[in-house]
Amino acid sequence: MTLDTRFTLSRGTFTLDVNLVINEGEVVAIMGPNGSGKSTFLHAIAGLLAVTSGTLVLNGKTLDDAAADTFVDPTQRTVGIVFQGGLLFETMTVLDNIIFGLRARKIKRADAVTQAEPLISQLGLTGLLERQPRELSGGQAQRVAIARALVTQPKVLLLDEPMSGLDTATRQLIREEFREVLAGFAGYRILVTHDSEDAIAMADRIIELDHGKVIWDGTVADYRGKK
Amino acid sequence: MSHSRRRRQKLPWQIVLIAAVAAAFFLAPFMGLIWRTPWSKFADIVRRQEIRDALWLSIKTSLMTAIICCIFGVPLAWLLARVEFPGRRFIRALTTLSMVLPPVVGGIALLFTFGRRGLIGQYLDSWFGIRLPFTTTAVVMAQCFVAMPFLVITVEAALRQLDSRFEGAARTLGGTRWYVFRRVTLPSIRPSLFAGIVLAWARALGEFGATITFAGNLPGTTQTMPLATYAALDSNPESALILSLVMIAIAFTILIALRERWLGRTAQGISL
Repeated sequence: MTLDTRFTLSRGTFTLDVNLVINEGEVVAIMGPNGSGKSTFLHAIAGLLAVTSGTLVLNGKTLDDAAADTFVDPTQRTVGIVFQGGLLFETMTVLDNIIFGLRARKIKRADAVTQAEPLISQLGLTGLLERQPRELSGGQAQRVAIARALVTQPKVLLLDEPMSGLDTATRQLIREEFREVLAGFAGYRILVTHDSEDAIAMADRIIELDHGKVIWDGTVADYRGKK
Repeated sequence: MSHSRRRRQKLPWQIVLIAAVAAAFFLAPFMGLIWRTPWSKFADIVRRQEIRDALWLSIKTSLMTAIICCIFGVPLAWLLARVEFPGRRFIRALTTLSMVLPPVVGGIALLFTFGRRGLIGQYLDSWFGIRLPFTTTAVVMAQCFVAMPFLVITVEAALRQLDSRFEGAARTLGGTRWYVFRRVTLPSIRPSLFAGIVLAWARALGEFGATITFAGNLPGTTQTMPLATYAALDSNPESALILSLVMIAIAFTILIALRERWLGRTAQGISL
């Protein structure tokens, strides 16, 4: 099974042009400087942006095809994103953040809580459920964001700079946790980072973008050799 | 910076002086009003039937206006803030036009649109037998026309400030646009939404020009407090004074109450 991303996506003067096949089971790290198109790539997969030309195909199902005018709504894509800074909903408690995706699918609150329970305890969030997002540390907020993204059991997990803005000590800790989470997730895993340490520690394959183009694509071992 | 430190700094007296003149300019008319108020007749005048009618009509119509502005204004603000469409700038200019327009011009425009021979009014009359001018409905329409922009610009500003990635995140979690709007967008802009509603309501309560032009000045039906006050100024200046005071008191009380209750001290957007 594969996630085929063969498309261009233009926004203003910027164009992202990729031709990548992501394999199920591998952890892919997307690297590159600011404005290289890393986040645009994730947003296209999640359906927050539409491709300008080409296709996006997940497990044989076309999610986006500019020529055929096919566009699967983000709500139907089974893609979970962990955003930079967590991006938790400030007006809800931690618990309501976590079960948001279940509630959006019209699952009763009590059932949603039961369903989220294993994930909550796995990520060590049991004591934080009634807190407001602003009362969390950076690391805690990221764990909540992970739980929120995983609770609907997506096929694709996208991590958009999950460790930016964390201090070095927290970063080490969270990196370990994320590695576990990624290891325990069976589907497609894509991590965006501009830190090569993060990429080497967590990924199997590294793709480097610059000005919207792929300038490197290879295994972590090859990447280490290149450095 | 703490208060004590700020106090130790030397204040720029030129700015303070000019600001004091401005503050005095707002304060003086209230003093003038209170100074001339015939307090002994206060109870008699506010108990008069036509005054109670006007007061009740004002409260009723301005609250209806606030509700209607909310129902129609919030989606309009969302559209202006979130969706790129041709003519967006034109629509935005159009919706806020009545803020800079003399209200009487708005009233004339409404009259020639919804009047018996107006663009839309002629059909309302001949097809449905509906005649809007000089009815309480016309009062609400006139108020909406001048008040809704206040809500639209307040809510639109709040929506622009709100990071649209929050809505994106909610969409990827399976939320339909409507669900995301209700559960993520609206709660996030709540302080500004209340500020917008209060501003629109306050503007509606004070509406005069468009109302008298489009709805007329019929006691009990279209004569709101500002109209009654103006009418009284000619015949009975003492009641005009007292009516003015009553309106000031209502506006003040509700603004302060709402501020404490909903807007809080950390309210974003326009603070009242």
